[in-house]
Amino acid sequence: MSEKNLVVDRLKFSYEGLFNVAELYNIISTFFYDKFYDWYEKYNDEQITPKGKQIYLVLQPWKNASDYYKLEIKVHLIISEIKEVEVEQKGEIIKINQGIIKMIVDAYVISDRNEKWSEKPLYWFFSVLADKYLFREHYKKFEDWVKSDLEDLMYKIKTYLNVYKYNYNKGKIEYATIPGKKSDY
Amino acid sequence: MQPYLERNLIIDNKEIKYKGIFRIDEVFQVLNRALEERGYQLREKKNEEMVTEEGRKAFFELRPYKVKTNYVTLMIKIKVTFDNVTENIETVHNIKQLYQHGDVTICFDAWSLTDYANRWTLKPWVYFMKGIINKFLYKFPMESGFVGELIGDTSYTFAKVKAHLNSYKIETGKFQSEEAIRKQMEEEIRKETEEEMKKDLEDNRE
Repeated sequence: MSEKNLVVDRLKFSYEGLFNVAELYNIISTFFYDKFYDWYEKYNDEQITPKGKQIYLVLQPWKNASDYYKLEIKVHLIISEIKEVEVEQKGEIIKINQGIIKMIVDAYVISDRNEKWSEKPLYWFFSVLADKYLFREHYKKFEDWVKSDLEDLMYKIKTYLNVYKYNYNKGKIEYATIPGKKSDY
Repeated sequence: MQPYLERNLIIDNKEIKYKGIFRIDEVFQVLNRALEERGYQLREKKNEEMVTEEGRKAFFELRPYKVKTNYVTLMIKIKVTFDNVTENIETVHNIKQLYQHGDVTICFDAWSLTDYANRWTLKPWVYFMKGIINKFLYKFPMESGFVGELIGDTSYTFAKVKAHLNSYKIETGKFQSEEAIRKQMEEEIRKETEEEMKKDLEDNRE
């Protein structure tokens, strides 16, 4: 059996306010399409309640990153209390949704995606040794890859919803340098 | 990050409270820089945001960590809440800049994560003895050093963020020194006593 390594464990995001459900769904699906993921919608549930519409989606898109590794991102998307409201923007009245978005995301790197190395116990033993000691750095590249894809996805969603963002790479002090010349620092 | 069996809370809810203007990106930048200087790997766990008519409410939970050995990891859990956030344009050094205004609460928890049970899993007697010795008799220098390091890192980050938030008051000229606050207090007390004296006089006349 192939090994499923959990890289990002339950990254949570929630938002309450105005948004458009169709646009949000479109952003997510376009993102995965652009990044060459194969679309897999595992679960889709929609309920209409007195409080508003409720949507529960489980998306599990995946991508073959190499002959041996597969990347998978699992998105639990719960949109509740969706109501249609009218908002005036630049003199025009537009229809938009209001509700609560809750998102829980996991990211995985799956090794031995074709299950070639789990047919015999000896093969499996060799694959474990190789994963652990020989291809450790190689595996880390795929880990970084799926993490970076997930960061991009979250950034897109946050930008669309116009929320305050926490950026990872701003901690480094960047000194101005002249192109083609080494920095003095 | 691998799962750890033993989790010890070293610092519990060390809190910074601030009210006034700030810039969210700068606050995060200072936080990130302080953590990276101390060798932490940045990690975001949770992000919540609520948009209301009074302003925005944003909550971030960050869990930066530092792997010390195969069995010891240090983690700082930082919970940042921005409440009633509105956006204002302020003039600082004759330059107009966009600032956020609201309440900021930053809570720091420091966790030491160890996995000795896994290491000694085949030798329960050794694991048990180690636990007893560690708790009551003698703390191995390496392990106690890690806890000290974690406390130091948390205090460093805490101080950096606090100093940064206070700097906004200086930048916008809204900073009040201790002497100024004392004078203001004296003035208020003087006014109150004068009013009370006036009232007493009026009562006596009646």
